[in-house]
Amino acid sequence: MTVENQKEYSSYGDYSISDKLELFLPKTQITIEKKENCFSYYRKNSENQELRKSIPGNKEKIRIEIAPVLPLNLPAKKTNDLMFLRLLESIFVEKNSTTNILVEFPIEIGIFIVNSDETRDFFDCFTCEPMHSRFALYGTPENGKLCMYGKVKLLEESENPQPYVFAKMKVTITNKLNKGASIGKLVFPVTHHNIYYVDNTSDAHIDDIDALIKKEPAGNFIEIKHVDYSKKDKSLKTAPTTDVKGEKEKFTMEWGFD
Amino acid sequence: MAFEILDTQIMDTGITVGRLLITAIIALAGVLIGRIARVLFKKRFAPNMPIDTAKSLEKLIYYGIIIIFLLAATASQGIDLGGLVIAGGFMGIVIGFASQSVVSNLISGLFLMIEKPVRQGDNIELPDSNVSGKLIDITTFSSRIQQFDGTVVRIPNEKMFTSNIRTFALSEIRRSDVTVGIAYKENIKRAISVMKDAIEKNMVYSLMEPAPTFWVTELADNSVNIWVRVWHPRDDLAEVMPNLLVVIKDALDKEGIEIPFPQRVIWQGNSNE
Repeated sequence: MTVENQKEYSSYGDYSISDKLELFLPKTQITIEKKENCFSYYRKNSENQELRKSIPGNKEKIRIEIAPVLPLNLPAKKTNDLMFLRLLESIFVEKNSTTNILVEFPIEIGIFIVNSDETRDFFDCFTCEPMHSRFALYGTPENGKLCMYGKVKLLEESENPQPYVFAKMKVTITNKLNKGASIGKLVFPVTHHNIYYVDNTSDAHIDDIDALIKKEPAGNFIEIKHVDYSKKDKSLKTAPTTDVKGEKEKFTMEWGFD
Repeated sequence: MAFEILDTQIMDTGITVGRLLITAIIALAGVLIGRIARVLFKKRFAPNMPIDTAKSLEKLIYYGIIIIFLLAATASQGIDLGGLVIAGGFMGIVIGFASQSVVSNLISGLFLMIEKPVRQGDNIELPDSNVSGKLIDITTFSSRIQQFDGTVVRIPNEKMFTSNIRTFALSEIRRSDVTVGIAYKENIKRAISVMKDAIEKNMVYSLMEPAPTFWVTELADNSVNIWVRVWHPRDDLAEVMPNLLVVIKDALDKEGIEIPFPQRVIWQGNSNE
């Protein structure tokens, strides 16, 4: 079976491997196999890019966890922790009002080795959509901030985003201005965000954000801050993290938001 | 016999060989402690600081300890440096004339450290000297730049201070430009669209915003020239520039858009016409 034509995808969660495991994800195929003195790891994507790794040792079996991770690792770690979401359709928020929306949030997939004490070691990371893992600048070339970038669309309450490529994120926007405002992009720090997934499925959700549109002497700003996922419950698993948490949990978009 | 030598005065200055020896031992201890302090600072504290701050503090700690020990040593042994200062004043004039460039380099180095037009660790270019690379150190008399081929160039601080310096460190991004010529028969909008799609798909370090821009700059002798400008993270020039023209040419070839080579059509006159 090739990477391209597989439709039944593997799920997020833990896998125990004693002999051989094949995982199929969009545009990606992974094989983990026990060899004489090690476990070999092989990953191939739809562009025929390959990765081979080895886990030496005489263990009878190993455990891995597949989980969504923040999109900060590919193609290389360059940004501090900022994410730039370009909304495919901009949102108009009426004056002195609050609105809630759901948007896609791009994710990468992390493979973690589960140790005997249940701690996780980061092992590999990839994206199921090679067109992701891009950069953008928020602000001017002189003093702007380099961010990871994603083009995202708004979601309906019942709509699920493309599995393994996007998670779901809730955005609460409050407009304190005395006129309506259009928002075409959201920029905020993400290392404080947790991603949650439902075990044995492809459903993923990331912590929410609150966006406050306000007027300052220098112009109209949006202040964005991290909020814990409002619908978090015990059935959700928190994905292991690969990133060091940044200093800031909130960010002020002072160079425009249209 | 040996102790008698230690009590011997040097040129009736009141300074004995023994005192001088003790002063030298204390000064040597200062050098050793300075080195230990420098190593400890480099291991414990420097990794959490900006490179230029760490290097400046490292020098301050090292030379500061040595000077303190030297002063302590001379004071404890009753060595009066006043005479040295008077002698040094006269010698200073003589040496000053002989070493103008050395002093100039020293002062320029101090100004470079205070003004910080560039910081250690920055990628810089000195267009006048045709040198570009990473500034690895600003020392007392010279600055060292590691070029991208790995070689290190030592530039006197005076030259560094008075040169035009092009730095890439103040912005998080930089731009790379190339010019692409397409044949006159081709549709310009289509060619731009093909190039734009190819860059977006294949150049992972090309920024999505600001997006690549395409300017028709010249209706040249053999081609319509299009200036392609791509923004990327500032340290990824080596990922972008070598691939940019490859990606563009492959995309234009795939779409059958001609990149013309220089050619001249010669019409031969015919007397019958």
